[in-house]
Formats: sequence, structure tokens, C-alpha cells
Amino acid sequence: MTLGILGPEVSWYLAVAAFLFATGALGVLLRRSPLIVLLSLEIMLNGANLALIAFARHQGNGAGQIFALAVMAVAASEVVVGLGLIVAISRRNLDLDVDKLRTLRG
Amino acid sequence: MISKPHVDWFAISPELVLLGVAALALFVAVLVPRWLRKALAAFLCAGGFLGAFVAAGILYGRSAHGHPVVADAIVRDRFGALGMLIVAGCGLLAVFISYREPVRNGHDAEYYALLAAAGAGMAFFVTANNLMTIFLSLEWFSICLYVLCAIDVDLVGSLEAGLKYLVVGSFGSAVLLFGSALVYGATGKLGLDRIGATVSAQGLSRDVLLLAGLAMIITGLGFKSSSAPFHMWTPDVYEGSPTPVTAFMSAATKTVALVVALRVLVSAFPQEAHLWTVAVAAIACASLAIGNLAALVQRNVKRILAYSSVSHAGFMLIAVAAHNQSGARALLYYLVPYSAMSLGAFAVVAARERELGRAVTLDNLAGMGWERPLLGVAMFTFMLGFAGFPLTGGFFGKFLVFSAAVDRGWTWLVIVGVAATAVSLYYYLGVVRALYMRTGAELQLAPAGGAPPREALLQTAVLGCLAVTVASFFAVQPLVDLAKHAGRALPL
Amino acid sequence: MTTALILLPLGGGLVVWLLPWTRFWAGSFALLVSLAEVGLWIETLIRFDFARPGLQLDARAGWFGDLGISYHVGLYGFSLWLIGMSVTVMAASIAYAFWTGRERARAYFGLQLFLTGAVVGVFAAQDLLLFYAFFEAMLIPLYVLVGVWGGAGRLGATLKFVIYTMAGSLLMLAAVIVLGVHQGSFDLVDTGTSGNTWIFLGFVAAFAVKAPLFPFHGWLPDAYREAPPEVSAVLSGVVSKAAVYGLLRIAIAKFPGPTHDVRVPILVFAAIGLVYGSLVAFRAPDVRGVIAYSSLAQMGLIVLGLFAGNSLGFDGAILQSVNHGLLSATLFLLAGGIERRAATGELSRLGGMARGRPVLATLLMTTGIIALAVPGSTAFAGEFLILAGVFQQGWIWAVIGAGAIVLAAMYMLRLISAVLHREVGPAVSDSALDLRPAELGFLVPLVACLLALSAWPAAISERSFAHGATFRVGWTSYAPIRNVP
Repeated sequence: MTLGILGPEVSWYLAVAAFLFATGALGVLLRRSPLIVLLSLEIMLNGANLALIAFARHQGNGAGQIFALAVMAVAASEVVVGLGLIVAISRRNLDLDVDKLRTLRG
Repeated sequence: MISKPHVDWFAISPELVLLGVAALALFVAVLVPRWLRKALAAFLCAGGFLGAFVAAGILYGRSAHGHPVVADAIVRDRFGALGMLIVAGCGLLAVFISYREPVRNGHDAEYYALLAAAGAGMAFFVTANNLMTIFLSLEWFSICLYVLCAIDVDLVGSLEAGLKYLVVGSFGSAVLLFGSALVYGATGKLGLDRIGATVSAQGLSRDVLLLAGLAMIITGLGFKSSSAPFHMWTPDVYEGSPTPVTAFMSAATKTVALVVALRVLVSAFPQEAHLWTVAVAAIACASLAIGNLAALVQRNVKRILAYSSVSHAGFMLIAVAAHNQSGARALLYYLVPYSAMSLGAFAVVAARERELGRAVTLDNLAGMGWERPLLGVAMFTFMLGFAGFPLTGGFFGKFLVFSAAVDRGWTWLVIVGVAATAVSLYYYLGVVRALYMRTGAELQLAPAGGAPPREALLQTAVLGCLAVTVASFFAVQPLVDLAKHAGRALPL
Repeated sequence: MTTALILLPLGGGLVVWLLPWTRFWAGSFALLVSLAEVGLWIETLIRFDFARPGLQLDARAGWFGDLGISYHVGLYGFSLWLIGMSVTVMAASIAYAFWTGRERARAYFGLQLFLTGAVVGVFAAQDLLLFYAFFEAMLIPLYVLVGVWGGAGRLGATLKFVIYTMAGSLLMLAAVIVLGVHQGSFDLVDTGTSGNTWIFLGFVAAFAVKAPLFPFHGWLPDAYREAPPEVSAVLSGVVSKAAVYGLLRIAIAKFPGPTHDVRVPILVFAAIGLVYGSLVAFRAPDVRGVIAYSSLAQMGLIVLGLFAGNSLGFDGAILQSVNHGLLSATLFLLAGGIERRAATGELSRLGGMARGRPVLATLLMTTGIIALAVPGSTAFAGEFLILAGVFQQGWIWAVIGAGAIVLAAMYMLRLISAVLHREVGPAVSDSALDLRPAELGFLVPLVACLLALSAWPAAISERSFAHGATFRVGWTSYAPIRNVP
């Protein structure tokens, strides 16, 4: 099945991917700055990307790699929108702290 | 030489129409003189949704035997076509509701471009047949919606709603993505039916990777359908976004998220049905409990409707959890009156908001039923419909959902649903009480001044929603036939 | 024919509501429609063949074939009488509202006519789901009528009313779904009986709330006090009879086994309601309170008759339902007239209204005397049949019933004397007029119906259940019901 990967087993890749994903998730849940939150979202997506690529190699078909490429494009556009929103908010009030965005109670 | 897949252009015609319209509207935004932009873009957008509706209708008629097309990336069947029909109908009504919405910075044409693009993404989403197209189309319409929520950049609430939706929505998408990666890792397949086939061929149904992936996919779709406990963004985003956007989101996003949830679960994971039916039933109960109880204490009408949409996600998830043909039928039927009622209710809120120039609460709704007879009666009907009274399609929606649960043998879900309905009466009738049983004179009411604008388009939209809500009660059989034929496309 | 009876008021209501009538024209059109409805009912009465058992004048159309739900309406003898009582009371109620000049006339009269259609629909429906739809459709106009045009405490009263009623209705919905899905059809005529006690109790709960029966009567005093008088008349006169009809047509006819098993607890609750209602009515501080609790007592009596399980009891229950519908409507409309004159319904502030107001005194006396079941009156005939019927279940029930009739005499006489006799109360001024001719226009026909029935109660009691109704003794004799599949 495997195409003779030199190096670690797929489970190690999965472990790193899961670690990245969990780090990102914690960042989204715990950090306050919208910039860091966006960054954490990217880390989550990249964790998933790593898993996809590792599995693609493990399974021996290219679908996962194509998926990962597409995810990168999506992640980029998500960041563009996110940054745009952050810029728009910061133009209105310079204080960037998600805990203080309290016009809408959470 | 790369072999190109055969493309069934007809199967993706609704998406193509909407995408074309979105592109045209963007051109309108820069090339057409300012005074004409809004009217032309709205006209184009409405035309696009109408075209998509017609195309989806023809597609429904000619896709009696579902089959995957375009290298199995999407599937052409009646199930998807019915989803497209609902989305296109919602989009059309949303254009009508939006037209008089005061967008402060003149980005009207862009607004309609995004609306059409979001519609296209949703239409793609309901036909998506592998995990990659599911993720891509999910992001496609979600990103459009993030921008739509924040379109009113001068309004703090709107920007905040956009950012909040972006953060929580992307979180949900990332969870869905990671889950997809895990399922791919376990089976080596992305196509939904292939996953199911591989699982049964290799006996993977106890595989840890696969089950973790399944759980994460359910979670990701739970975020989009705003079912508890993944609903926390819903009230804030619904409250902060421009009301027409909320109307479109509440109807169309929920429709596609539930339709896709059903498709993914039954076509990719039939082997694990004993697990996910229980999980979905638990989510349904949580949504019913949290949605209804939280709605009791709200004063802001948009937040009430937001929590009510959480509870309706619960009702419709009962149909998903039933995992049988009558469940699919119930879900697809319920979505029609639900979408109409939800769009209509938010449209009435939008009308009141424009009249008063501020957020609509139960207090300043007082007396509206008498001042605006059409809107009042419509809102009355929508509330009764949400509560499941006869004479509205909401009644048969709940009826079918409950009988699907009885078919499955889960009478306890019926009891939960009935109890939730009883609780929900309190706040739905609270809205009616505010509309009719208090007079505006009793309460401090500050109209924005002057006679409210005549909103022929919005009233047309409300009338349309009203007609669908009531007609789906009397013409239940034809609608159920549509839903039934659509449901047969699924391997149930 | 039956469909016309349902659609005429519904269509009339829609016309009243949609067209830009003035208050006067909206009211007079609504009155015209309600009188036409009475005329239509008389026409139905002429066409109805009382000698023939089974469903008559029925109509059927497909609706939701997948689940075996259809639009199926038709009439039995007893439903015909209940419809007749309902349309008469509704017409009187609309006339009263027209005379008092309700605000927002188009909405008001539209809802009244809608309610008429829904009530007739309930009495005619031969499909479980159709029945449920009409049963709920009754609630919508009532909710608005009480909530918008009611008194100061209307919001609380409507909330209680709706929550009680919906709690019952949702139980009934669950019962309807389970029964219908099991039988594969929701048709009342085609399907057989069921032995499931839980489903039976689901139906009974809904009807017990609607009637109301003791201990489900919590909504009753508030709703009857806060509603406009003519809506109270409809609530107690007409809407409660929907519960009687439901008990008879669905609970008893479809669940013979559970009816037999559970009859004793139901009889106990009915008897408690009868005695409790009579006692509270005797102590009630205001006119409407007396009528409201006497309704509770009367409903208990009617349920005693229903669950006596023999044709005496059934005949008596139907006769007494019609009697009570007409009586309580008349009393509520009279109470409305009294409240308009004295601006209060408190008995302690009323009194001496007979002096100089002979017409009012005569009508109130006549109605009150019929209500206290003087021998020779139609209420006496009804109560006698019920007691004779329930005697076969056990002498104790008849004793309780007879005792309650004595109590009825006490509270009715107290009401009459507190309003008409004694010294002139502080709220009664000399300028308060006697009944106006317009008021006589809707009160006299009601009283005339009562007097006519007193002369010939057998018109109803012998024509509710098709002939073949043998007077057999014992629970197993479902003689009248046998003709009701």
C-alpha cells in the first residue's frame, strides 16, 4: 500500500497534524487579538493540510494532495476577508481586543 | 495528456446562471452610472435566482435516476435539485427584501453580486458528492456570507457580526476539513459513496480514524446548521447582520447544511448509522432544549427568531436521526414552509426596523399588527407556523417529523419534540401579543419620522412567504410527492 | 351541504376582513352571514333523515393520501343538533357585538365568522386530522378575540387559556399521530376501534381541558371573566361542546375498552366537578363568576351522562349540551347587558334591577328558572335523562347528580335575587334602561328556543342517535354508538 516512505510512519505525521490543529483550536478559543485568532485559524487549516498530504502519500493516491492545494487557496481568501474586516474595525476604533467587541453580547 | 472529465453542463446550470449574474453585477458596480447601479444589479440578481429556480426545476424533472457527474465530483439527482429549488426561491425573496435596505456606503451592486455568488455556492453544496467539493462549496458560500454580514461597514454591529461569523464559521469549516482528512486517511477515498463502499468492503466500521472523522464532520455541519451546542454564534450574527442578510442566511444556510448533512451521513456512513443516529438525536434534543429555553428570555425580536431557528434545526435533525425514507421526506418537506416562514418573519422585522430606525424589540413591535395589516397578519401566521399550528405548513412539518421518529421506533423523540413545542408557544405568542394586544400608545414608540416608505417589493416578498406557508398546508400532498421523489435518490 | 355549512362563514369572514367596510356595514354583513348560516342549517335539518342510521350528507375529497388523510365531513343526528345550537349562539353573539359596536370591526367580525366555520368543522369532521385542524383553528380566533377585545386582565387570561389548551392539544396530537400511523388511515368512519389506554387518555386530556372538566379548569374563571361577554357566551356555550362531541365521537366511539376501564375515575372527576362547580358558583362574587362555575358544573353533569354508557345517558348528554349552550349564552349576554348598565358585575353592588325594568327581569327569570331545571323545562328533561342513565352505573352517581341540581337551584336563585331583587345596589342608577329592542332581537330567539325545547325536548333526545337506539341496560349496550362506526 505505502509507496515506501523513507522516514517516519504516517502516524507521526498524523500526530503533528493533530498537534497543529489542537494548537490552532486553542488559539481561536483562548486568544483575544483578532489577528492572532486569524493566525490560529490558519494553523488549524494547515494541520488538516498536513494530514491530507501525509494520508495521500500513505494511501498512494493524489486526491489528498489536490485537496490540500485547494484548501490553501480557500485559506488565503478567508484570511483576505478576515483581514479586511479587521482593518475596517480598526479604522473605526483602534482598540483591537475581541473581548471588548461587546456591542453584541456573546 | 491529461484526460478531461465529461462535464454535464446542464447539471450545473443553476450555479452557472448565478455565477454569471454575480460577475455581471460586479461589472455593474464599476461600469454603470451610480443612479442605475442598484436597480440594475438587483434586477440582474433577481433574474439570476429566477433562472436558477427554473433550471433547478427542469433539472428536478429530468433527473429521476440520480447519478454522479463531472468525474463524480457532484451528483445529479432530485435530492440536490430540490435543495437548489429552495435556495433559489430563498434568494429571489431575499432580493425583494433587500431592495429598500439602506446600505450606507452605496455598495449595492456588490451586495447583489455576493448574494448571487452565495446562492451559487449553496447550489453547488447541495449537489456536492465528495468531501473536497463539499468543503470547497461550503467555503465558497460562507465567505460570501461573511462579507454580506459585514456589508454595512459603517455599522459597528454589522462588522462585528461579520468577524464573529468568520471566526466561528472558519472554525467549523476547519473541524469539518480535519474530519474529512481523517476519513480520507482511513479509507483513501473522498467520494461519498466510495467511502461507504470501502468501509463495508474493508470492514472499517470500527476504525478509530474513521469514527473521529465522522464526529468532526457532524460537528462541522452542526456549526453551519446552527444546532446546539454549536449555535453560540447564531443570535449575535443574526442580530448584528443587516436583516435581509439574516433572512437569507436563516433560511438558505440552514437548508443546505441540513440537506448536505443528510446526504453525507446516509451515503458515506451507512455502516455507522447506529452511532450517528444517536449522536444526531442528542444534538437535536440539545438544540430543542437550548433554542427554546434561551428564546424565552429574549426581548430583541431578531434574537428570538435566531433561537427559534436553533430549535427548528433540532426539529429537522430529528428527521435526519430517523434515518429512513420518511425522515428524508419529512426534512425536505419541512424545509419549504420553514424557509418561507423564516424569510417572511425577518422581512417583517426588516420593515419595522426601517420604519423605526432602530432594533426591533417586543416593546416597539407593539401595535404593529393594527398599523400594518398585511405585515401583521403575515407575522401572526409565521409565528403560528413556527409553533406548528394547523393552517400552516409548519403543522405538517412537525407532523411528518414526528411520524418519521415513530417509524424509527423513537417515540421518546416525539415526546421531546412535543414538550419543546409547548415551551415555544410562549415566545411565539409573545410576539403575537406584542403585535396585536398592546397598542402603540401604551408604550413609548419613536417612529423615525414621516410616513414609512411604501415597500411594494418587501410586501410582495412577505405575501409570497405567506402564500407558501399556507399553501404548504393545503397542498401538502404535491409537496410531499416532490420531497418523496427527492428522498428516493438517497440510499436509504 | 355540510361543506357549505363550513365554507359559508369562512368565506364570509374573509370577505368581512378583506373589504374596506365601515364598522356598521362590517357588522351588518357579518350578522347577515350568520343568519344565512342558521338558514342553511334549517335547510340541512329538513334534508336530514333521522330514521336512517349512519353518516349523512357527507362529502369526501383527497388531501394527503400518503398518510390516509382526507377531507371527510358528514353529519350524525347529534352533530346536527350541536351545529344548530352553535350557529344560533354564534349569530346571537355576533348580533350582540354588532349592537355594542366593537372596535376594529372588520377584524372582529372576520374572526367571529372564522370561529363559526371552525366550530361547524369540528362537529362535522370525520377525519382525525381534519378534526384536529378545526379544533386548533377554533383556538386562534378565540385567542385573539379574548386577547384584543377582552378586559383589563386579558393578557394573563389568554396566556393561561392558551397554555392549558395547547398542553391538552399537543397530547391529542401525539395520540392522533400514534393512532393514525398505526391504523394507516386517519378516517374516523373507515377505521376500527383501538384498545390502547394511553392514546385514549391523550384524547381525553385534550377534551377535558377544553370542556373544562375538574381538575383542568384553571383557565376557566379568568377567561370567562376577561373575555367580552359575547365571547364568553361562545366559549362556554359552543366551544365546550366541541369537547363533548370529541369525547363522544372519538374517545367513546373509538375506544370502547379503555372507556369501560377508565370510566370510574372519569365519573369521579365529573362528579367532583359537578359538586365543586356548584359550590363555587354559589359563593362567586360576580355575575360572570356564577355563570362560569355553573358551566363547570354543567359540563361535569354532561360527562356523567356520556360515561353512563347507555342510550339514556347519551340522549341526555346531547340534550343537555344543547340546553346548556343556549342557557349559558343567554346568561352571558344578559350579564353583558347588566354590566353595560351598572359598569360592574359584582353582586354586592347590584340589586333591585327588576324595578322599572320588567323585560330584563322577565328574561332573566325565565332563563334562570329553566337553568335551575324546574320540572317541565328542557334542562329538567336533560338532567333527568342523564341521572336516569348514570343510575345504571350506580345509584351513588345519581344521588350526587340530584344533590348538585339542588345546589344549582340555590346558586341560580341567589343570582336572580342579587341582581333583580333586594334593595337597589350602589352601582345601579335609575337612569339604567330596560333592555332595548335590539337586545331583545338576539335574546328573545335564544329564550324562545329554550321554551320550544321545554315543550318538546324529545325533538333532540329522540333524534340524536338514529332509531334502533334500544333502551338496554348495562355497560355493554352501545346501542346508539353502534351506528357510529
